[in-house]
Amino acid sequence: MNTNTTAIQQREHAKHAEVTYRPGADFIEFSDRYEMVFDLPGATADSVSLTIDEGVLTLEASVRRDGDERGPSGDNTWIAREFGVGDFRRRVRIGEDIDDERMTASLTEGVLTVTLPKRAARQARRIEINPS
Amino acid sequence: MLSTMSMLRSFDELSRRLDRAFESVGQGVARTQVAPALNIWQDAETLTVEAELPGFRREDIEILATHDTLTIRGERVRQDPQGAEAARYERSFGRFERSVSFGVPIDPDGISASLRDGVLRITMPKTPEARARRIEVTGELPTGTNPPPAELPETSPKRAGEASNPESSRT
Repeated sequence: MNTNTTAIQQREHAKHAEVTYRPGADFIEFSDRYEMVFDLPGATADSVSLTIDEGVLTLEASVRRDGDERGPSGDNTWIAREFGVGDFRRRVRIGEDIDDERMTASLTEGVLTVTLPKRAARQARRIEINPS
Repeated sequence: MLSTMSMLRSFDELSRRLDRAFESVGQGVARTQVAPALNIWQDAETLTVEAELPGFRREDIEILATHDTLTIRGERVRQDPQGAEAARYERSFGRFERSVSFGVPIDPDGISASLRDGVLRITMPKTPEARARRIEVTGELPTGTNPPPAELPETSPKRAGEASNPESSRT
C-alpha cells in the first residue's frame, strides 16, 4: 500500500518536473577564437537554441520526452531516481572581441561545442608619408 | 515575513555576484559529475537503467551483468585542445565504475543497451521466476452489493501459448 502511494507521487512529480538545469561548460581560448563546450545529455540539434542579446549568450536546450519516456509509465515504478530529466539553460556574458556574426556550433553525443571567432586584430599600421 | 523576503533577496544578490565573477549569468542547478547518476525503473518483466553519459562513445563504455548485478564502466577522455592559450574546465573527465544490485535475478542473455544523444539506456528482462505475478484471490464472493457470480464472465479467453506461461495461467 505504502509503496504504491510513493510510486504514484513520484510519477506525478516526474510528469510535472519543470526543472531546468545549468549544464557544465568548458571555456577554452585560442589565439583566433574561443570555444565553449557544454554537456547536454538527451538534447538533439533541433532542440538547441543559441541567442546573443546585448553581449549575453543564452543557450537553451530541451530534452526529448515524448515517444521515448525517460522514466516509468503506466504500471511501472521507480527503483532509483538519482537525477532529474529536464531542459538546459545557461547564460554567459561574452567578450567584446568576439565576432558573434561568425559564431558556429555543433552537437554530437550530447555535447555542444560553440566556436566564437575573435574579431580580426587591429594591427598597428605604419602610414607612409608621401613626399610632396 | 519581510525578513524572509529580504534574506532571500540578499542570498539572490550574493549568488548573482558570484556568477558575475565567473562570467556566467543567472543561476541554475549544476550538473558536472563524471560518475553517472542512475535512474532505474521496472515493470513486471523488465528493469530499465538510464545514465547520462554525454561525450562518451560506445567503445568508451563497458557493461557487465551477473545474475542480479549490473556494472557499468567507462572513461571520458579529454581531447587536449591543440594551441589553447587558456582554459577553464567545469566538465569532469576520467574513469568511473558503478555497480547496482537489483535483488531480483536478470536474464543476462536478454540485456540490451543503447547510447543516444549522450544517454545510455540498458534494458534487462527479469528471469521468469523473478517476474511479478498476478495472484487471483479465490474463495467465496461476499454477499450483498456485489452482482451475483452468474453475471461475471466465466474466464478470459485463452491465447495460444498462454498455458505454458506460468505467470499468466489463470484457469
